Amino acid sequence: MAFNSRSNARDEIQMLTFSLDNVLYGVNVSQVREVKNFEGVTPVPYAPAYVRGVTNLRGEVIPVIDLRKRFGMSEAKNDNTNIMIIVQDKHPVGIMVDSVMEVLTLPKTDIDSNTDSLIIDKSEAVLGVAKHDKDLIILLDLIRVATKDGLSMGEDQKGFQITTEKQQTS
Amino acid sequence: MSFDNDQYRELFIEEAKEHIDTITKSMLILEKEPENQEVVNMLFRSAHTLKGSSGMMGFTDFQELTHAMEDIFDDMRKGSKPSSSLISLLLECVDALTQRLDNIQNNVESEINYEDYKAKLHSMKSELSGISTPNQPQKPKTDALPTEKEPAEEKTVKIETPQQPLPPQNPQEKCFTVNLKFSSDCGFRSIRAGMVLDKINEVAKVVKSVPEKNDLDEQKLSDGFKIMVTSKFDEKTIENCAKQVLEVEEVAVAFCPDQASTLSAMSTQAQVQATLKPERNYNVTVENKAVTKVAVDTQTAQTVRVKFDQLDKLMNLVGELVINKIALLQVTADNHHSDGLKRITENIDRLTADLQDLVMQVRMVPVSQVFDRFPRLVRDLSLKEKKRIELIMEGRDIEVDRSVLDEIGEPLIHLLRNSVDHGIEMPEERQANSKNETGQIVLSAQRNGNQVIIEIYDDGAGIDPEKIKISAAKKGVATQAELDKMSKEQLINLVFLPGFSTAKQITETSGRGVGMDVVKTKIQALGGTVHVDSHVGKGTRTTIKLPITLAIIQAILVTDTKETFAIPTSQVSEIVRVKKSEVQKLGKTDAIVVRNRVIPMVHLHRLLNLPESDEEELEVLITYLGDENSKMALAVDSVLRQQDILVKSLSEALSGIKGISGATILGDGQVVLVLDVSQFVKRNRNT
Repeated sequence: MAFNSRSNARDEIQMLTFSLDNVLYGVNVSQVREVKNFEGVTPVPYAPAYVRGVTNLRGEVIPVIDLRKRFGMSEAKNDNTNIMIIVQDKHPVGIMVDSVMEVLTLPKTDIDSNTDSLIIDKSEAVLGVAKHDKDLIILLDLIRVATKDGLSMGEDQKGFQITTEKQQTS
Repeated sequence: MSFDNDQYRELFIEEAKEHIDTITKSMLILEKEPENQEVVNMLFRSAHTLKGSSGMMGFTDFQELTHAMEDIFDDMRKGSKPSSSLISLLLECVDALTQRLDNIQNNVESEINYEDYKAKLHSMKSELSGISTPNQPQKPKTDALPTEKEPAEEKTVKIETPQQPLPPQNPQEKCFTVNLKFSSDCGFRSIRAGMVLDKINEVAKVVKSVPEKNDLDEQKLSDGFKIMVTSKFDEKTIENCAKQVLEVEEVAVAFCPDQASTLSAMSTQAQVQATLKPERNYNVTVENKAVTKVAVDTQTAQTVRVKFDQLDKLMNLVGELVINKIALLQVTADNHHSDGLKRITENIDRLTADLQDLVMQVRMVPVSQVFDRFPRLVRDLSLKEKKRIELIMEGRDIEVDRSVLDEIGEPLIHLLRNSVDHGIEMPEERQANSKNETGQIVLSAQRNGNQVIIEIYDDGAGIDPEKIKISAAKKGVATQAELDKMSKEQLINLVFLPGFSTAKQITETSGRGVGMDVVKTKIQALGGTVHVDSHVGKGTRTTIKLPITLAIIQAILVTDTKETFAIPTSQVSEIVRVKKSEVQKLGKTDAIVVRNRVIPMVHLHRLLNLPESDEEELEVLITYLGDENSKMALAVDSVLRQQDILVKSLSEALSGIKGISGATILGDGQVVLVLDVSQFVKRNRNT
């Protein structure tokens, strides 16, 4: 995907939009490394429930996160989710979404970053809401979504950890 | 002059670290051999270089402190002997510098309180100068070490040079040759030569110089500098001009009537010099080597710095190449292609194997990179504890993969601390037991096949199994009945249990909340084992066995409940096949009998919380529980094969899962999890 770098000026934002449970979301293209078909994963025992498993991205082992589960949504009725967005901070992470729509260039003024007024959870992963035509797009920080403490999680989701004997100082 | 460029910054940090290491090492040598002038010179040079480069980068605090240190080293060069407390203070300064460097690297703004150190150093200095010869302004003696820090030097030198009024002019331009010689111990010759050219330019026009202006090289300048000029002034004026530059020992200006012939003569000379150059370089390396022998290792081999994560990437690429190669081999084997294609794939097979070997080799670093920190550590600790300890290091040049080396520093520090703190006795006590007052700690590395064996042994008090027994009973790590049954060796190795420490008091040296269990966990995480052997009154020996490399290991591929897993071969002692009916029940746990030995057995799918399988026959891997004496049987549906795998770490989001140490990609692109059985075992025992 070749983006015109000049259009990515200070007062504009380029975002890749995708849908999840019939809601439109957007992610800044600077966080997106590529969009790829989902070709199965190796499940990881004791991993957090929202981690589908790990997959091979051209020689790199990357975790794949199910965004529906990450957001506590019900599973898709017909499990045809076959697309994932690869985001990259230091390490790439695959994020499964229902479908990927398009790349939009929006003026920053169209984005309302006062997230407190939003009904969806107050997680820091939500950067704001963008208006585009009649649609509202929830702008996400997908890298934060991909990291462990980006969203508040229940204790049980921490995965498998053994309790060692009393941690005394020795 | 300040470079806000990351590239220079990194270079500076790298170099500064090397110099700081040199200073630390040299200082420890100096403490033992106060007469060693070679070491003092080395110290001076390093401090001097650090001063220059930090100044150039704009780290004033760093520069000030290194300057103060340089002054001290300068006094030492003049014959004053450093006291032990001065060395301690200097080492403190080194710590401050190291800290500052770390901060610079992490972009933390925190300046050294250099005034404090300077004041301390100064008071020590006045002590020193009492003995030393009267302070003479001495020029930096840098023995023609090539450095990149010259511009900073240039600035200071230029200020020293007084401007002189120009003498009356001769009406006509004439041609002169100027022969310059620098004093033999002159540093920064290239800079000085450049300055001479600048100076002469004020009164004359430079026609030609040997070596050329843009090729002023320390080595080429070692026996002088020839310039041809035209000028309206006389010889004397030009000579005075050149002499304004410091350390120019001889200037010979000669009038030459025939400009053209002189020019061609100089050119030939330049060529001769150019052809001579390689030999000269050779000489220099030999000299450097001589220095190395006397004191500290300075790397003379030609090297290029490569970022480690680039090596990681290279490794990943090679890994990928290997996977694709396997696929290619399969495709060509399945189809009957021409001989040409077959030959090419065979070549690719061989080349990838070579490439893989080479990448592995490149990642290898000598253990000295970690070991060399320890003399300082032991010195400081033993001073604090008022003990006399000699640290002997063997096998510093043994190489291991960088990823292994990064991880073993901490466990080794802990073990060394234990030896200093609990092992070696106080000098009086040692004397009373007719031992040498000075205790010995030996740290050795040796290679054994695909393993590196690191041993730490001391000739100290040793561990008393009876004390362990009492302590263990008190702490409730085992019941009295269990303890009574244990052998002496088993008792001693109880120290690895979490929350176990026999130290009566928590001292600063050991017992800062990290116990031997942390050492064991770390070593096991690296796929290694650790074992302690001790004799009361004689000493303690800790043996660590580690794989040479973490990246590529031998693994056994198994399947259970349709999933494939890889288990490091090093954790498996044997594989047996049993029928389900042969599995015995031992209370809640299963067990099998192998050669009359009862071994507790667990099913992999139960450990991993996977659905039950209905296989009638089981393959059972007998696995080690961290050390060679305790074993566990791990039941799986089937064992596929054994192969070399390239272990990749799981991302941060999945890193906390015990029992899974990483993942690997098989030839067909499938991702397979790599298990760490020792972690499962721990869980099995505790829950």
